[in-house]
Amino acid sequence: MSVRLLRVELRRFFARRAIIVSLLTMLLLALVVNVVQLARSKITVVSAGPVTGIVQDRRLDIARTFSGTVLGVGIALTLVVAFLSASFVAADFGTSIATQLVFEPRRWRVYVTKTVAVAIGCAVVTLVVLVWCGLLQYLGSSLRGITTGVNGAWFRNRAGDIGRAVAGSAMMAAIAFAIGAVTRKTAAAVGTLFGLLIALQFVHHTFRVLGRLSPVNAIWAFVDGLRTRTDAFVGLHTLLGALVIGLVWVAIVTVVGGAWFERREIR
Amino acid sequence: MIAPIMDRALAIRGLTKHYRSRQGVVRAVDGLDLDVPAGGVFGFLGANGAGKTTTIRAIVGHLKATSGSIEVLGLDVPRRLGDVIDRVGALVEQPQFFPGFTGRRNLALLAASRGFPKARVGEVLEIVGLADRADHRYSTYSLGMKQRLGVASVLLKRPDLLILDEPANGLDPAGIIEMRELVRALGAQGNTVFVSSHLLSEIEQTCDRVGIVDRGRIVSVGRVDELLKVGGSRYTVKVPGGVEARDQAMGVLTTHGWTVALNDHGDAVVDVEAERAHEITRWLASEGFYVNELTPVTRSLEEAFLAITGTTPHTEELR
Repeated sequence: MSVRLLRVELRRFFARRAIIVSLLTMLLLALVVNVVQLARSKITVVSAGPVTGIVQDRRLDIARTFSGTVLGVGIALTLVVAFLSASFVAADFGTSIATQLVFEPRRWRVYVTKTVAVAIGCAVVTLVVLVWCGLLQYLGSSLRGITTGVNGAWFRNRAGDIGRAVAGSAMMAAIAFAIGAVTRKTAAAVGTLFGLLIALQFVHHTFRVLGRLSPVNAIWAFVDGLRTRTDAFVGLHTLLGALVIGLVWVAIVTVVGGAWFERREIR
Repeated sequence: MIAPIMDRALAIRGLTKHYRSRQGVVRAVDGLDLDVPAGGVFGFLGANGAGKTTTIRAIVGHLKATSGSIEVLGLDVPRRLGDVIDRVGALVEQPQFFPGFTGRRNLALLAASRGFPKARVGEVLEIVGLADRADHRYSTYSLGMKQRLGVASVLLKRPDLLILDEPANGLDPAGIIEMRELVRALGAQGNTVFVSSHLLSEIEQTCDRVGIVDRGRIVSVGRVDELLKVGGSRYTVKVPGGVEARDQAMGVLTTHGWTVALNDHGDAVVDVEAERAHEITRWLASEGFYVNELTPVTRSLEEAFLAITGTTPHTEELR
């Protein structure tokens, strides 16, 4: 892999309108959600039938809610980046790849560099969105909520949550990239990826041993921190196990995608 | 570890590329041998489907040949293509760039991928006459502008060997003339320019040497002026006395074993070697016809092509 080529691929990735528009949309969406939550952030006293004076604390409380936000948004982001990754490879391979190969004909080098660039790019997108969500929640909690419990330990834990989500996005992006490299069309890549998800869910429920080795289950369980998705890892039981399964899948699909790209005739 | 420039910029031996299709095996390139000397403009001429683009794709590693060998600037490709790629610029068929990026950004990314200075991007955009539209998105470019950007990408590297596949595609008449001058200038500067085209006039006006490819094989290679002599020389003969005298003179020449025909202007045209042209006047004079014009006919490359390949079915594509 060439560092110079990696820089170029990252520039290419972040210069794409699909990436910029998607990122801005997600940031705007997070802003809208937080503004709504900010408006609803208050303590209310309600009555329910004969019972009066029930206190409902609906204040923003980042220490309580942000962990769930990271997990929920993080898993959603693995799907978003899968789409972005597939669309990148399809746009790239469908247009300028022949010209690029006249400048760097070593295809394995090109393929691995692009995979790393897409993984880094998608990881950055995930990081930006989650940090933005955190900043908005902190701001809202500071202005009209509570920040009790936000301390060093909390920051370390949330940094771990965000780190896992970022890593999960990178792994999912690499897998989607490999599928895109084979299918060469965004729709086909996304269709294949989601078809694979559905098929793996079926396998997971029907043949549980195989299901435990599903890449998507592994990545989601890793992002989730094994809080709600422990069943996928009966055999491994650990975050490290989930990470290993995810990385093994990334390695497998990268080799398959790269070999496919190496043999492909460019037209 | 780069080899010195060889006397041959390109050497191809027994290049074969077969495709499998529903109709069976298609021999796109069928044992093609070619030597392109270093320096000057070399034309790679053939009808559409003759195997030109497939050959070029094999040279730049876009496809793997079924068999055969290719040397580019003295190095085996595709095995050592990575070592020689900075000295080779190629425009293969339609130029392909990222549609959402501007022309300048597309070139800047390519330049950065090999560490070429950013200033070179502006220079090549000026050379191809695209500086004014460089900051517009590629998707808004006309076919001719896309072609210019493709040529600009080739020039980015200051390559020793330029491979241009149909560079005049999509260009307007003024653009074709500019491209022709650019190709000639690059050849004159000591670069090797390998131009494929199905446009005989372009090859004739631009190239020093030409290789004619037909059905995946090289059928003739040589200097353009040598190829124009293929099939022998011809002379137009005019005698005074109108159509009747002309027909009588043609009869005299035919009687003495010459091959005589009429051209589009109604003049008698005789197939004869230059060394024997004077015999025409002698035979006609002996029969009382005094020639007032004996003019050598300049054969067009199209005629030479047809004489060499005998492929009249491709004539329409050659115009």
